[in-house]
Amino acid sequence: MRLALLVARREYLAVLRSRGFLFATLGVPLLALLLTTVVFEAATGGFAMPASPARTAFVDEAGIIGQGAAFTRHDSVEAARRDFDADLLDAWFLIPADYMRSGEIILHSRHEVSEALEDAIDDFLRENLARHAAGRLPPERLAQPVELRVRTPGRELGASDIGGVFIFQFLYALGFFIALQTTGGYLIAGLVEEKGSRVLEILVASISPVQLLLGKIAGLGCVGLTQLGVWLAFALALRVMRPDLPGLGTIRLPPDLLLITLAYFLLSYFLVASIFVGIGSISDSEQESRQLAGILTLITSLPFIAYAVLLGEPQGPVSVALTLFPLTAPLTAIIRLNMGVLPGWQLALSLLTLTLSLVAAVPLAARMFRWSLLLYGQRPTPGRLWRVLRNPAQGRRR
Amino acid sequence: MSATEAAIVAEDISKSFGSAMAVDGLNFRVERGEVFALLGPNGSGKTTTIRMILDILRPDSGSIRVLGGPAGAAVAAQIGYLPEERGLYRNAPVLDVMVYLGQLKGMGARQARERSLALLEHLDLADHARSKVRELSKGMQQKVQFAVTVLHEPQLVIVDEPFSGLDPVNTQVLEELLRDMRARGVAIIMSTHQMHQVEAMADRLLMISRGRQKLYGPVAEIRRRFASHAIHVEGEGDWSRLAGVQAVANGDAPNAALLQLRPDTTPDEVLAAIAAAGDMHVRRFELATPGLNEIFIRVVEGG
Repeated sequence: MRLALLVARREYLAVLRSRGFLFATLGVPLLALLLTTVVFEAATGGFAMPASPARTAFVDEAGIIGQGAAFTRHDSVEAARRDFDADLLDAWFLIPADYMRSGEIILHSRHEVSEALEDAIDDFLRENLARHAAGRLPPERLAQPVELRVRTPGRELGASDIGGVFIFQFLYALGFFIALQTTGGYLIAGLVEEKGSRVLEILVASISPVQLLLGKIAGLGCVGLTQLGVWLAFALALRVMRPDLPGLGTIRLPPDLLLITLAYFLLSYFLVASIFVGIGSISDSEQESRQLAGILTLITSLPFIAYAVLLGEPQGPVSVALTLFPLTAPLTAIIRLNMGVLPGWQLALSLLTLTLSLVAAVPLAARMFRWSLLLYGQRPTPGRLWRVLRNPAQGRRR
Repeated sequence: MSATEAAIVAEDISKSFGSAMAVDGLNFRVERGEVFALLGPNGSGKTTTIRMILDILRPDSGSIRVLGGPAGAAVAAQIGYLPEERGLYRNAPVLDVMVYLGQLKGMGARQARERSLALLEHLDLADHARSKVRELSKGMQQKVQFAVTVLHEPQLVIVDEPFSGLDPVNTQVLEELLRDMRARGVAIIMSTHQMHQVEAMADRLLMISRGRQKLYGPVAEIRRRFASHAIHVEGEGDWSRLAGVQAVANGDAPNAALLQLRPDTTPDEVLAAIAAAGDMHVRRFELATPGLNEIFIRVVEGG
């Protein structure tokens, strides 16, 4: 264990002292700031498929809306829900019977809610209150006519949470990819260097391959955490210095979501790191291993490519498949969880498949790594690879 | 772990990869305080044997005891290994690399640092302690690599082609280091194709070919075993007149002659005959034992 810690320490310091790390660590917050502003606008301001006011209906149980409204009137909740489910409506809102007292408006939307729509609802209510209910209006309603509760199919969110959740989702995805790219890049570069320069032969005369791998993965994991820490520090500093910046002030997340996110992050980090070890083991050059790593990155980013499908059919077969497949689970599950459309059994099954894959991947990676030590210069043909994976005795040692 | 047991005791070890037999029933011992040469043509199984000693591989059958215990993690810190194909972290400072690899062999950070600096000083590399490895010449890197091998004062040192790429001065420096270690009771296994190095340094040797043991024993004894009934002579005289000399051929030096003796003649009788003859002068008189190079070729070609 002491040796694995030594390896971890060396890997950690070697990366920390590299120029690339410095650029990534300082460059990413700036990039993120820029992108978050754009995403925030998209999430709250409205160019990413907002609910259209023209396809928004209302149900007035409070009896305060007159004729000729800006939104389509539906007579009952059932009628509105039916049209909403049939996709005749983007959104509908209920003015409940106790509206005059609570001011609460419940907006059902499967699309993102734009500020324009919020403003339109606000104006609509002010106008009708003034025209039809002025006499019985409590003063606080005049001051704040709308307390908007937004319900997307599933999870209920306050209007101000929406931007936060989307930004969280975005930051999670960004952090996930940067961590994988950083780790993967350094892990592969390190392995290829050690193989190429033959340091590896000296290393494995001192330390078992499994300890060596654990040390590397742990050390690079700490690099990822350090990077994350620096970024968080940036964000906090920015929040303190510029509370008016969009996004930062609005991130409020339920603790269960945070815990699940952390579990996905850690499990998938170690899974992907193990696969990177395998890739580094069978590759002769950094270029070759980067190509293979690129394929892996592409697979993990499939949920982004299929984002429209996830939004459009959150319970469809593609969404479920991407949730259960270990490499796409970390992003898909968090996206669907945020949308409130991830059933408990799928969450449990997804975490289970991810854990089982990790349990299978670690010894396989160690075996490929050992085997790569014995075959300097030989091409890893599929046949050879298969024999090694099947037969541990080929590369057996302590 | 016993301090008196031989450094390595290998009993009937075999290792195959698929259908290829890499090592086939080797038996040998390496004593403490000796230089033991491991010889053989490329692909003969030397590296596989070394990897079994290092526990990177395990034998399919047979057993290896290393420094009094089974090969494995428990003795890894007592072994120094210089692989044939070698390298260090190219972008790291020399001292950092040495300290790291020393620590992996169980040294404390400070101890590794002090000993590294002392070794660099000894190898005339003190000025390069903070240089990055890639900034060093090939020969300097070679010396650093050697320093890494012996940094933790191992009880068993395995060096594969230790002098390749080194100039004569640096070769001599490393030879002296190895001799010092031998004198302190360290067992040294040297695998090399440079037979003159074996003749100069090795006490005993093991030669393998196609995984099988071909020669095993003290270097001098093996050379005598291959000696023909002949003598190298340098000097003046008509050697063919000597009684007991069957034929005269060119010797191993420009002024040397190789005298083939009759089966019933001893070298002593020939020397006496030269001394008795008034017109013969001899500056060198030596049994014609073949060099290891010749023995190597004869053994390998003979299958």
